[in-house]
Amino acid sequence: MEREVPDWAQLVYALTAEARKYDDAIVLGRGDPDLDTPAHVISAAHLAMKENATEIAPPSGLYQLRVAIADRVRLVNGIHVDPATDVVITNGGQEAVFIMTLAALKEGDQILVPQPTYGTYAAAIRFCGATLVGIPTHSSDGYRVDPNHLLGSLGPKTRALLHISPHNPTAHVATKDEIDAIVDLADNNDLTILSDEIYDMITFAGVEHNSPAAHPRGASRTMTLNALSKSHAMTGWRVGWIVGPSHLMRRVEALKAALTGATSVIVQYAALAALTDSGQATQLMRQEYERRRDLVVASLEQAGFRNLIAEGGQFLLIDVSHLTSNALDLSKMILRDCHVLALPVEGSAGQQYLRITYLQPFDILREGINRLTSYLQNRGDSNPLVESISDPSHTPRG
Amino acid sequence: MYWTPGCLKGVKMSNSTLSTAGETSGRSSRGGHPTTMPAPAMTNGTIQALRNGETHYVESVGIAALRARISDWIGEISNAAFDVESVLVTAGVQEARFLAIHTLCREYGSIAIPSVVDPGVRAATEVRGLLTTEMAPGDSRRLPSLESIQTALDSGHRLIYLESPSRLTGGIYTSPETARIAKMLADSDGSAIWDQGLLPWSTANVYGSLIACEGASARVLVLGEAWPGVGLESIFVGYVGLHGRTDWFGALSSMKQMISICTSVPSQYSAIEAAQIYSDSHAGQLHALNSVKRHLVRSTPHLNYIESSTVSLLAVELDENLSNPEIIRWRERSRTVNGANYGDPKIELFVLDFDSTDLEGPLSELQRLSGAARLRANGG
Repeated sequence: MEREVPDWAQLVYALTAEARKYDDAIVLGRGDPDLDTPAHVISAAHLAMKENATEIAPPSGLYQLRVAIADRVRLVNGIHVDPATDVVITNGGQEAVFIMTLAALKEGDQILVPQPTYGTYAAAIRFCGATLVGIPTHSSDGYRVDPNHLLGSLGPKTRALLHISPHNPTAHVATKDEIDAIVDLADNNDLTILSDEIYDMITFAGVEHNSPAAHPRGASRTMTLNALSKSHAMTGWRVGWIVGPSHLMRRVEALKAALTGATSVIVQYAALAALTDSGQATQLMRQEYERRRDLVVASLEQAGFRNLIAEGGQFLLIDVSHLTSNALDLSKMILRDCHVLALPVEGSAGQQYLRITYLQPFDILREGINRLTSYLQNRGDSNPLVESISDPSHTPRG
Repeated sequence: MYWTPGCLKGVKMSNSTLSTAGETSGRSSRGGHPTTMPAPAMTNGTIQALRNGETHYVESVGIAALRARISDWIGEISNAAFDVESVLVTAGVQEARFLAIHTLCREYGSIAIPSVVDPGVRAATEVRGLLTTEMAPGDSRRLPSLESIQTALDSGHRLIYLESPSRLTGGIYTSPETARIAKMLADSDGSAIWDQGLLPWSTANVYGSLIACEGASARVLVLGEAWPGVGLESIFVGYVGLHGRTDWFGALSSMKQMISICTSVPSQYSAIEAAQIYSDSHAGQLHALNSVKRHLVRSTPHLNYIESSTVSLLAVELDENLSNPEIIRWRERSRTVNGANYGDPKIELFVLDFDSTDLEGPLSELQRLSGAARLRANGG
C-alpha cells in the first residue's frame, strides 16, 4: 500500500531514534524545547480537570479562548479578527499547517514555496493534489525572497503563497519591505497567503516581526497560524490556531470538524492561561534562547562559517555545500562519529545545509557545538568528497 | 461530581453547538456517550505526569503504555487478538475515522458508507471529495442490510464502513450477520472499517466484532473511543486497531505524523489513568444507564422507540402525523439531536447520562404531541 510519506517527519524520527543508541548523544535536531511548560499553565489544566472537564466545545474551540487569541494576534501581530467567526483552535501547529493548506488548495493548484522550507508542507500539499513550486533563497543574501523570482514563477494555476517568518529552517525574519512585496504580489494575482508565524515571539537582536495579515491589503487574503508549542514550551500539549477572514475560516472550521472535531477542553483551558499570563515566562525563555543562539553563532563563526542568519526561531542553518553534496550522509556521519545530531536540509538549487537547534541546556549545547565544529573543521581539511554511507554502523569517533 | 453509584446530575453543558462534525442541533450527541467528571485519581495522575515533565512530543502512534492498555481492552471487548504494535492512539474517534478512511481509500479508490451514519463519516469523505456510495438500511436498526453491502461489493467498492452499534440507533449486527459480512469481504477481496465505539454500552449477550470473525482479521480495521463514561469525552482519546496489517499501520502512522505529529500528551496520560477507573466502574455504569433507559421507556410507552441493547442512547422514530412546525417547536424547547445529519430526519436521538430525568419532560411532551397528532389524523 502506498504510504503518505512526510519525508521531513520520517527523517526526524529515524535520525532521532538512531541518536538514542548513543549514551552521550547530543541532539540538536528536533524542534522540541528542553524548557518546561510554565507551572501556572499546568495548574490551569489541573483546575480545568476538576471543574470544566465535561464542557463541550465546538470544533472551532471555546469561545473565551478564541477571544484571547483575537486579543493576542491584535496586540502581537496587528491582526484584527472577530473571535466568533475568524478564529479556529487546532491540535497544535502541525494540524494548523495541514488544515490551512487544505483550506487554500485543491487538486491541480500550485503554491509558491520559498526553499528550503519546513518539511511537512510538502506532504500536506501532495495530499491536496496540488503542486509545490519552489522559490530558491540563499544564505548569501540572507535567505530573502526575491520578488522577481516569485513573479517569474507565477502561472495560471498558482493559487497561494507560503510565507514562514521567523523562517524554519533558515531563521530569517521577513522585513516590512518583503511583506509589502508578498502582499502586493498576492493582491495583484488573487493569491491566498498562508502565513506560518509559530516563532513570532522568538526574534533576536531587535529584529521586528511583521505579519502579512496586518497589511491593509493582506488581511482579506491571509490565513495565519500559530501555536503555543514554541513560545510556551508546550509541544506535547498540541494546541494552536488559525486566524483569517471569515470566508476562508468557514472552510477551516469545516475541515477541523472533519479532521478531529474539537480540541481537548482541558488543553484549551491551559492555553487560555498561557495566553492571558503576564508574558514573563515567554520573555525569560526568549532571553535564554538568545543566550544560546549567541553561543552557537560565535562558535560557528570562530570555526570559519559565514553568512550565518539567526534572526529568529530556535535554530539556524549552516551551509555545508563546500563539504558535501549530500547533507543527509554528512548528518549520519556526524551522528556516528561524534554523536551529535544536526538535521540535514537541502535547498532547491542543491545547496546542502545542517540545521542546528538551540534546544539543549547551555553547557550541553556548548559541548555539542564544539564536537560538531571540530568534526567539520577536520572534514574541511581533508578530502571534501563524501563517503557514501550504506551502513551507518558505529565506528570510533574521528 | 465524578461518577459513583447513585451520584447526582453533574453534567455541565456549554451553549456551544457543532460538537461533532455536521451536527447543527443545540444538544450534542457526544458520540452517543454519557460522561462524568474525571475521578480524582485520573486528574492527579494526569497532572503529576505533566509536572514530571511529560510535556514534549511523543511517538506519533501513541505512548507505549497507553497502546498496551488499549490493545488489551479492545481485545477483550472484541474477543479478538490485537498486537500492541498495531494500535494507534488518536485525538478522539473523529481523527480515527479520518485517518482510516483516507489511508485505506488510497488503496481502494472508493468507499461504501451507510446511508444512515455518524455525520463525521460523511464529513471525512467530503475532504478531497472521496468517491463514495451508500448502503441502504434494512430495518429499524438503520444498519446497512446485508443485501446492500453485497450490492456495494458487487459493484466494485472493495472498502466498506460499518458501525456496530449504530451511532444513531444503537442497533448492532448479530453474530450470524457479522459472519456473513466477513464472508462477503473474503469473497470479494474487500476490507472494512468497523466503528465499534459504542460497544462498551451494549448489554447484548453476544457481540460479533467483525475483526474476530474467521478469516476476517486481516481485512478489518476497528476504531472507537477509549474507555467511555469516565470523563474522557471532552478530552478526546480514540484508537485504531489492526491485526497483521503492517502495511496499513505504516500508512496510518505516516498520515498521523503529517496531520498532528502526536496526540496530546496530557490527554494520553488521562487515558492511561482512565483505564483502571473504567475497569472498576463500568459494570455499575451499565446497570445505572440500563435503569435510566428502562424508566424513560416505561414512562412514555406510546413513543415508537427503536429497540437496541445500547443503553447510552434512546432513538425515537417520530410519528408521521406530527407536523413540521410541531416538531420544530418541540425541538427548540428540548434541544435534542435530530437524525437528519445522520441520514434519517425521522429519528430523534437522546443521549443518556447516569441520571437523565431531564429527558423525561421532552419525551413526555413528544408523546403528548404524537398522541394528539394521531387523534387528528384519525379524525378525532
